[in-house]
Amino acid sequence: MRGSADAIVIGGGVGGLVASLYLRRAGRSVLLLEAKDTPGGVCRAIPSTAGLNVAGGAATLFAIDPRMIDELDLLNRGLTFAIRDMPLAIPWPNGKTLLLGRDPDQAAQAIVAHSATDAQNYKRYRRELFDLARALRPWWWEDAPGPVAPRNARALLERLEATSAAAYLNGWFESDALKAALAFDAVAPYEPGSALALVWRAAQEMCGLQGALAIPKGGPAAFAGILIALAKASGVEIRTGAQAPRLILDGAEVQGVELKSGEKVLSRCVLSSLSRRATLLDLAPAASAGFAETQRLMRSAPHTGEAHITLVLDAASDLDGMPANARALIAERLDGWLDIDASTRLGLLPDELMMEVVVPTAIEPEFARAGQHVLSITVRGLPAAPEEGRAALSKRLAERVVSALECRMKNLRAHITGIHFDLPDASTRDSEFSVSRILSPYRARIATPLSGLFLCGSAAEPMDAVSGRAGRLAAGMAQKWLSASP
Amino acid sequence: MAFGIAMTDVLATPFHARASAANRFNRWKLRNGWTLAADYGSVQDEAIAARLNCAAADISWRWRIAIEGRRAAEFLSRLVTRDPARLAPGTAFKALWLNDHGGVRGAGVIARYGRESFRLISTAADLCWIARAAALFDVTVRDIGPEEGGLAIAGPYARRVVEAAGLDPALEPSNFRKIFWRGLDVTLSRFGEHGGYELWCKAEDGSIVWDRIAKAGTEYALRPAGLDAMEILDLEAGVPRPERDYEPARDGFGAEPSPFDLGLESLIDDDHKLFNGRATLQGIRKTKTRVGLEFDGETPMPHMPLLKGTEPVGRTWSSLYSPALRGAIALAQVNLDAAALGTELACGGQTASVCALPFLPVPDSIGE
Repeated sequence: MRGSADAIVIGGGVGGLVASLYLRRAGRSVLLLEAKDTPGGVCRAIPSTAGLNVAGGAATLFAIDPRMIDELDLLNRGLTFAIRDMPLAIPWPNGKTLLLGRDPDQAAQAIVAHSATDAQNYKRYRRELFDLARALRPWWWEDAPGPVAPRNARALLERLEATSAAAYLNGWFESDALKAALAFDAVAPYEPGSALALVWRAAQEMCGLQGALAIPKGGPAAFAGILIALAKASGVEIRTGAQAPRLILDGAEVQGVELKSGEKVLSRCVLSSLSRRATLLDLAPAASAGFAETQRLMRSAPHTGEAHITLVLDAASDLDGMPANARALIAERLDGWLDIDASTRLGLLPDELMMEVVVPTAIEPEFARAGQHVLSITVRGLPAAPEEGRAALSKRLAERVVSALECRMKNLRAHITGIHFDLPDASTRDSEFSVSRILSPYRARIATPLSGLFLCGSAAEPMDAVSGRAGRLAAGMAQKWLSASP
Repeated sequence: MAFGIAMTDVLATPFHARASAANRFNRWKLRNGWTLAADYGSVQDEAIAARLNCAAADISWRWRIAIEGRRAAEFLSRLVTRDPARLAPGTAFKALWLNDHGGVRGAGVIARYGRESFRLISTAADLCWIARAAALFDVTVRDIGPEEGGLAIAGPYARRVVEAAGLDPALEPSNFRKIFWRGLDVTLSRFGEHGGYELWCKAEDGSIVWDRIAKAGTEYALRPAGLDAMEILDLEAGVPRPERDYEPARDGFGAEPSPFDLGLESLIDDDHKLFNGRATLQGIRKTKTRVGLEFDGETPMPHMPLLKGTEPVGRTWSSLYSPALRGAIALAQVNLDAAALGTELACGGQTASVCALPFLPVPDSIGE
């Protein structure tokens, strides 16, 4: 059987959905192929019996493209935010919790109790980071040819290109707990240049607030739901359960995809939400990226990954140990990230877990059944290829996470009624951090060596993130390409 | 071991025993790790013989690999600038292989031995690149240099010599044939740019093959030609060689040299849709080309700058004295505006004029 479409989008994550919506708006017929039962990617709602209303991935959003929200009119289609500006909570070794809001003065006052030097430096650190972030924002938001830092920030940018987040934080602060927690956002804080990841994160904006973190009403799952509904309404053909399609090529030009069922769909334009590696190595015929590029991609698999764990707690659970409206980062030592690097390369579970904990039900009870609570935990620094196998790893990981949390929440174990695991899907990730990736323009990350093939998922972003920006820009490039070659 | 260092083996070709007996002045050269006679007495006489009469030269130094596997044709089709799927067994073509950015990594002859078996013959080795690329297709790459020797028989009387040796000389250019030759398994081919034949034999049969050819050639005054004489023939044919003339492209060094700048665009098949580097090739504009230069005076050094008036327009590649043309010649790479025939260019204090390539045509084969 043969069909055809103006454009085929592989992967129904936020990037894929946004790309199909934009192409549809441009008047192109779009076929969206999703391997799972429902689209949504990491924002897909957990298919759970517990009556949960949360996404399998992270509970918070921080990088959604404001222009996309505006152009797709999402605010009038049901997107509202339950919380727009989540503070950061850092559990201190002495049992207290440090709460850092957006206001640097208040944050500094909170830090004073732990370290006067850090309090003083925190304000300057924020100013330097946010000033540079503001300068680089146009370039991380749109497809601009290269970073145009203002004259006074150029030297700083050049310095950060070679500075690891750990070294950068070490230069500012003395408290290990503060450094370790702030390093969480750099993903791979000991990589050279990863200080830029902190800048990139500060450059993101939610609801008009720079560097803010938000939870949409109904959670990321609701956000994905709005996009899916919009896609269906606008006439995007969504096909679920379409696994591992193969690209059909004529020379180096895309001609369509062949589904696992043998069905062929012809199209001169294919957008992939998968990583560059998965797209060019698994979907395309051998070595179509070029011999050297193929070998580079084969070597480039990330060795760390992150897992999302959702714990459902019964009504009687005590949330005292957890800050309710904040995002808690549990990371004790900055050096822990070094152990992580060493352990994950060997495929071992590191001794120290770096966790982000959010309690969505503390913000909006609707996330779960009445009286229930949900803990949404992101663990970073896990081996991407565990030596013991993924099943054994998740079992051990659950045990470790619960024991780690029990230091703060007494009797947590007794209250757990449900647990959901979302282990990292390697097919959408290229690298945990790379300077060349974060510093290259969008078009370089979106375009591939095959003409008519574009990347639109989080692999085309400067850092892995749910943003929709790559989808919007990839759709623009695809539309231009389709118009140029009728 | 002396000096406490592991000495690399000196490779002797299968014809070394005979070559060393013939090498009266004991002049040797190294090429690709092989020890070869630079000349057997007189470079010029040997070059003239290879052009006007006949000469036999040891070409075992050429880098040869066997490419085998179920997907060998698919792999080679991706590797080189022409489609080997169109080759019938027993035929060959010349092609280039490029890096990801369209820069020329190498040039050579691709010969089809069977459905899943090919040979690649080149003057410069590029094993790492090809073997690693082959691994992506589960294709094996084997260096057959040590297993086989090769003897080129060049010149107008080459056909007669081959015939006198008891081999059937009926063979189209760029074809080859396996022959059972009075107890020996040999392959007779016509891959070369200088006309004539190549005879490939097992390493252990080298001396027998040399003796048989030498005996068959007595009547035609066949003489052995050394590496230097073959170099003259090579240059007279106008073929640029990687490493000798141009620095081949490597990984991460962009699109230099492009096939257009080397004047090798004829080796790219426009109908061959997918080979490594093709996509970037389309965006490359031809700015330079390869030309031949004839000099009035003495032979210039290789890689000399060329001036048109006072404007630098290119560089020479290798240069030498051609006994057949009785003058110095050089291959050169010049800008397109300086490539017209007859253009006078200044080169290190003397004048050179652009001439057509090849400098000399392949000699007519006598008896064909």
